[in-house]
Amino acid sequence: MLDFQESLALLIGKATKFLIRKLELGGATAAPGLFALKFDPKLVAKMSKNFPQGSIVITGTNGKTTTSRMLSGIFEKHGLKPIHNRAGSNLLRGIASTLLENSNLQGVIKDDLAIWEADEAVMPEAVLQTAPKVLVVTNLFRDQLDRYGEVDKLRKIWTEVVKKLGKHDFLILNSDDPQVAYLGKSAKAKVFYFGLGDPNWGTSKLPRIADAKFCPYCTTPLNYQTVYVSHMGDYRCPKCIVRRPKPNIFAQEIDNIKEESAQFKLVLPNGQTEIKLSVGGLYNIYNALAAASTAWALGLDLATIKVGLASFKAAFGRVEKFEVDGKILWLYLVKNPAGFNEVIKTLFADGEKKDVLIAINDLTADGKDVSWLWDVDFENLKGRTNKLLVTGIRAQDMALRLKYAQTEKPAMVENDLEKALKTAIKQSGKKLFVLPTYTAMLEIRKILNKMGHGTKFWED
Amino acid sequence: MNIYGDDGNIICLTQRCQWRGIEVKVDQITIDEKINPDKYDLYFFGGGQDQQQIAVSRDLRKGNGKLLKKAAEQKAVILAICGGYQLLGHYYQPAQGHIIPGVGILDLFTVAGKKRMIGNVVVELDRHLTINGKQSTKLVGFENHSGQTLLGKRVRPLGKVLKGFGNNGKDKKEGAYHDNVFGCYLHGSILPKNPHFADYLIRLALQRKDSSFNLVPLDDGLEWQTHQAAVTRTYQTK
Repeated sequence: MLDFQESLALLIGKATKFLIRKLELGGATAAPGLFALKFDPKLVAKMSKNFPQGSIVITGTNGKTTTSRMLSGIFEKHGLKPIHNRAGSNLLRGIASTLLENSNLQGVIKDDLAIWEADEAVMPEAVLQTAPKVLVVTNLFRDQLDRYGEVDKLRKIWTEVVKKLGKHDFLILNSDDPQVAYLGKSAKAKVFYFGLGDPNWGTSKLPRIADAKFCPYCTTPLNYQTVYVSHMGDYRCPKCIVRRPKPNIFAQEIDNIKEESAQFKLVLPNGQTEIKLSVGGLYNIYNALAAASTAWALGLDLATIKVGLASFKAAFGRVEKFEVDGKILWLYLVKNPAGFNEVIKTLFADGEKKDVLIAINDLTADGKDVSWLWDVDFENLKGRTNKLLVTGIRAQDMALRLKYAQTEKPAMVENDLEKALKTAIKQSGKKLFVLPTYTAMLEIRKILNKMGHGTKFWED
Repeated sequence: MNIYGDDGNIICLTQRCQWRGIEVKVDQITIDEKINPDKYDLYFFGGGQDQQQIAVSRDLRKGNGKLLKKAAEQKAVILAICGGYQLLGHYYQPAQGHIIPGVGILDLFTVAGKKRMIGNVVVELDRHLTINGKQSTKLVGFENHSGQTLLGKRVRPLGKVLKGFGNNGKDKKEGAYHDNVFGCYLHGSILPKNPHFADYLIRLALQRKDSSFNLVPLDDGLEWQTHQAAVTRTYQTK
């Protein structure tokens, strides 16, 4: 039975969604939840009790969406129907909106479990309200520092949340990320670590921008035996006993890393299997490991995990393909230095020169401070682009960064996104790679939709 | 101490020298490494988080603070941003915990405040600085700090805040300088978009050895376009 507050909130939320969709104001993936929560702030907690298989919360700086979708795919192969806050709306209102979407007016939900992506700062509230069986932490990078202040502060808040998990709950942590792995020390829940186990794909030196170089316990700079991606790798503190925990689940024999593929041997405590992904980059192997670890902890078998991961296709806007005027346009979302570096690495892994359009905005969702561009290794673009164009609100800052990286001079520095996109499409060869920040990506999708290409994002 | 994209300043200084045929060598000095005050013409000290600030302060107290002071006395150029800026002062008082002592090269101190001062900033350069003001007498950047810095008498502000918060959001001063030591809260990174300031620092560093040294001008068309666009953007967003 619903209490009055919950009933009212449900009604308001559903009415909001109906109006937004009817009036074609947007995807209604956040507003219905926002309004419903105003009427019943405990709505998420109440509705979360519905799920026979419970809830899973996935948090971290990068990889939440991909990990959530990979996990969803695995559960679907197992015959379970998860609900998931898709379309990247990972604030509490996004979770509420998804619950509303999947329930009737009586608040009844027919699905088996919930997989929630939670923004780094919202994770405590999400865990409190959804009481998840599993909490997954993918990684912790500097991302939109102007929203979250400092990385240290965030980790301290997360430690308090981790302590609240019960001893029958699971905590899935990235062993290769010092700040994340250290969370395991505070948990009474069952902790499982995932990480990479193929030093051939690592280096022995840290890049410039690593932010977890200091020991989370004694603040001494960490030593790395192997570095895989940014600050993630095999580390130990030279002063105290802090070191990378041995991962329970890891990837070996990594191979065939391209734009749209990655292969590795998945090793679990009770077996191993070959995994073939249709997305590329080491960072997606980390995402696959996070999803596999979660599924395994909940008792799913190796065969299901293998097939589930193989069926994964990229989420909207993170990596996406469009066909435009007989050419193929790729959209690779960029949010922070580590992500951008990985995109550049992945893009040019095949050694071919490419046509690239970079779109940098500075609205709230992009990060208002564009200083982060100076932490991206654009020097790696040198000699690898055919046509290079720059657009977005901060096109000039981006062009300036490229000047100091001594890349090819951009053929165009144009603040008007639509103009730049159309020019780039016209001037490019068979493939065009577009690297936008978040709001630039949304605008580019809108423009492409108007031109008749691609699906509206909430239908993904 | 090198987060918030402040490495862009090293990239900028290095390139602007190399484009003029001036050879540059960059060394990174970390905790437990001794600063050699006779070796360097210019020091860059970037931003960091609380944990790192505590660790670096400890290191400075063990000996590097005195060595940095000696370098400043020998007229080496020092540019410090945010966390580094705070540590060049007398002390930093965090919201909780003990006072973090600074090096005391700049006559200022910082106290953690409740409000986060975030956003684009435009500053009018202090009139006592002989920076070539043909293209602009401003500095433009981005600030992100909750520390409130108060200047003492033996230091001048780097500039006057036209838009933004500056040192403490109250006295309209941003940054500080004394002789060849400069500190401020501006990220951006600050130097690429403010080539007049970048060249000023390079000139000071080189004039230490040869007082008649002058810099060949570079083609800064894009730098000034970006500077102007950033100023306009600040006025749009503040």
